[in-house]
Amino acid sequence: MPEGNGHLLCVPGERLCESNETFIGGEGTYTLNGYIFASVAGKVEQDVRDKITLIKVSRGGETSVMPEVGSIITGRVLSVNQLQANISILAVGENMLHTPFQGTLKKVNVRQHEIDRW
Amino acid sequence: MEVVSPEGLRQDGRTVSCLRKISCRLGLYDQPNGSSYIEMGNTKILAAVYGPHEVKNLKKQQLDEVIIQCEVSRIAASQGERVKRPRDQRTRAMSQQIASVFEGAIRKSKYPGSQIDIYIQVLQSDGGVLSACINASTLALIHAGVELKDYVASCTASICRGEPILDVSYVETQSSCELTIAVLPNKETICSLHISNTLHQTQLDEVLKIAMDGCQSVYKEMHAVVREYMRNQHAIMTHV
Repeated sequence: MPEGNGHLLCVPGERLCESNETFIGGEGTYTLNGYIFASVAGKVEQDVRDKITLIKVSRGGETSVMPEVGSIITGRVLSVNQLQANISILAVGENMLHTPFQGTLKKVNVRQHEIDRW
Repeated sequence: MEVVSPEGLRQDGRTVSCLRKISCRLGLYDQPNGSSYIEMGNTKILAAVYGPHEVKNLKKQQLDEVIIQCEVSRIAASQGERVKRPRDQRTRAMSQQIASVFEGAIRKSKYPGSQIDIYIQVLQSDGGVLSACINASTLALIHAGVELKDYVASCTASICRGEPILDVSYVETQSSCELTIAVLPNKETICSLHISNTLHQTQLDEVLKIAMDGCQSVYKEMHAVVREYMRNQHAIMTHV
């Protein structure tokens, strides 16, 4: 049911479609008993890549993201000492965080070789 | 005192299977990630959701999932009698109950090692406070964009002289029990059931049934409000 300027809107718990080889649930969705359900309120988007359709729900505007292993962050350095710098993480990827996260950047980790050695 | 009159009407003129008027709003404040306000009859609740954010108390942190913290407080004039403390044993118990309801509804593994706070303020209480709190938190969580398996719709029911009654007010709970259930309406599963005072086992089924139906109506109301809110939001966004 297209509404809101032609967008397909959905709410949490709403069943979107069957989950099979051609339809895969992306972010903002979950799969249960062979169906894809929405888990956030937002706009349904389809991403078609050679026969496989990725179904995702985007909230639009700010999204709640968490920094994970491997994510690229933007932060502000709060203090620097001999061994490490304390930073406050402001953004993860392209998304601004609602509340900044604390982080530490160890000096020993900022080098190409022997990153595990003190 | 008659709870249900011989004509089948209650004191406020409702029939036995009639809900009180529900009105709700999303997004009242900018400071929290999500906020909502709900009125179920004379019960009025404000809810605010902060998070997911970093865990304050590192002892409680769980690396693979989110922890949910809830705090309920009442304003002094929320009931007939002046409330001496905004938070007491009863509100603490209610907070834990609400937190445990959302343990089952929030997709906890989506936010590892973080915390979600739900703050609830009871502005006025007239029966069904717990269910109104649950509904308000659901709306606030949806507004905050927290990933949920489903809505959580909650409703109360009771029984009076063998006849089940839906959505009881404070006066009606004085003479009989109050059953509060929270359901995931699309999955049709109960995620919390709470009964105050005694209810006979043989009557449980019919009270439960009427409460389940009530939850579906509550869900429809909330659904309509969320849809309306989203439609406005997306209309604004596409104009920019």
